[in-house]
Amino acid sequence: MENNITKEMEKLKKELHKKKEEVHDLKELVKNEIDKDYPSNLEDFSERELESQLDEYLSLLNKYVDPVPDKTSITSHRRLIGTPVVWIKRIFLKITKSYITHILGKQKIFNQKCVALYQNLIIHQKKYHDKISQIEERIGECEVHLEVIAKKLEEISANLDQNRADTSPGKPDKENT
Amino acid sequence: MEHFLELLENLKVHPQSAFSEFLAEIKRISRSKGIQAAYNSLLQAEVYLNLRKPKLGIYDHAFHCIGGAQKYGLSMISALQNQFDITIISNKEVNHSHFMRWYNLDLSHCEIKIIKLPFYEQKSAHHLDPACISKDEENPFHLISKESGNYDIFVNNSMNEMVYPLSNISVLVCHFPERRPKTYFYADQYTHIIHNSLYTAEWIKKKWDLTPHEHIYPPVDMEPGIQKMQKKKTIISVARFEVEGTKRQHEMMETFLKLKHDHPKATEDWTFKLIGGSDAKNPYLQRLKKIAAQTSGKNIHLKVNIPLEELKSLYKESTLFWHLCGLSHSDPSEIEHFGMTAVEAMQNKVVPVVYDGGGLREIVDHGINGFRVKSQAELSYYSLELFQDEGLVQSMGENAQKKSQEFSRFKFEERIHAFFSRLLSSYGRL
Repeated sequence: MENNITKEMEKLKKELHKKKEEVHDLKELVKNEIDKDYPSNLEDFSERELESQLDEYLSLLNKYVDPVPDKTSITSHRRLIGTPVVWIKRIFLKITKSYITHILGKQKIFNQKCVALYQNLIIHQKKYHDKISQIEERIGECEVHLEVIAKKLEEISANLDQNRADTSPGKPDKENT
Repeated sequence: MEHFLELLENLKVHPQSAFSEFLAEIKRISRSKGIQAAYNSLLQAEVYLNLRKPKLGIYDHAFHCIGGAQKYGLSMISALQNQFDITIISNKEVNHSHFMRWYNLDLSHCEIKIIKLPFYEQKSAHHLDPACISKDEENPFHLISKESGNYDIFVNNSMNEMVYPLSNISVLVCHFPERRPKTYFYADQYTHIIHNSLYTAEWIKKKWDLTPHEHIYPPVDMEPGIQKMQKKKTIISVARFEVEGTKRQHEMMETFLKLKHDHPKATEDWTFKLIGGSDAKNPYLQRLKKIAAQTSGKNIHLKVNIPLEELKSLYKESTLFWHLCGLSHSDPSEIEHFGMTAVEAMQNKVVPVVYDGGGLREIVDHGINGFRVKSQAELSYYSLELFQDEGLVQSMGENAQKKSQEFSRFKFEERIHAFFSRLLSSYGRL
């Protein structure tokens, strides 16, 4: 390869590398969308995965148990008019707060009870699960013990047969012969 | 692709006349597919025209910790040092002497590049857990994704599918698919996936709906050498003392104590040694130590963080190997994905009695070179059989050593060379 071409290639590489470094967004770098959503099929999940999913859902339920909005939840994405819009909304919230609290009070109690019920059911389910595991383990042990007993019985039975054969009347007496 | 290779061939033969066409092609690629694609084409051209050695970057977010998966990746590049210019990419400080000490691997020809991730640095986290990244956060591993675009071949050796590969050829070494496809999942973007066992391959299909490309068992090198092995009546277990107890050392201690109680004569001279690594503060290990102390006359010994030489001599003198990792599991990841320590034991004619699941099924053939068990009761049953039959121990030990040869470092390197040679030939370097 000729020297000047090698140099040209090196130069081009440096240029491209510099441009590459300046791009922060990966999507721009590859000119393509890189992220997508993946639907999850809960039926395929293992026990541990289901447990962590349950924890995730429960913490979300706990987070949103109170339906009454607080002022920090009011924000705006608008650059210029965002601040006055937020200010007006917050004033409106302040004025109507007692009314909203009254209406949503029952909803909040209902939500709290639902979360408590879920937690209760989960604890119940865990206890039953533990019991089933213990029973399965015991059954496994019993199966192995049965196998050992069966083998021993076979041995005893074989010994008995042998003894019977040795002492049967038709068999010649060793000492006399 | 073919057009580009034709162009490169032309450039090789008529450099002056073909160069302007080559430049125009690079610009066209940049416009249509982005800067990264143009850069990749240039990298391929350099290798095709023999202007330099191909560059390989290997990443693992846990290179700073000792582990079987890390040993796998580093053994791989140790075998490839002559073929490639290699860069080891780590997120935490680590150096060549660590690799020498931990795995006996001389990687002095490889460069080490440390790329710290601000997200984890702010948390002062020693272990970088990808599972703690949610959709609300920016992907901290995109710093590594960007780095991947500087190599001809990028190998992701970590259990972390959040690195988006940008190189021409990308290889994901999957030790086990821990997470399901979720936020920032890019395993499907790699051009090749290597799996360490058939068990792992099965779960890659189930969890990710992907078919891995290459099956390469990990390298195991615990061969005893030429000295004669003096076997003692010792059972060993070699596994990390995990805080969650997933390696089931507690259950094995229980089994040993029950055996001692139920069959005092048959177990009279037998000793049980539990060997493994652990962090300083480990409540699970403390619990085991307490049990061992309370039953001091029962010959149970814990050996924590012992040097390699001591481990080697323990393998040489032991007769049985117990491993119950996977027992009463609640997730497939809790079963041994492969089972390197079982192979290490087999290399030393130690008869394995192991849990019947995961990668261990590929290693131990039940009744031929060891036993596979489903419960503690079965572990007792088969161990007792071995205690009482020296001939069986002898023949199974021989068979175990024979089987272990399938997982030797030599076999591993052979498979690695074959795989990467195929990659290079498809890249245009024959």
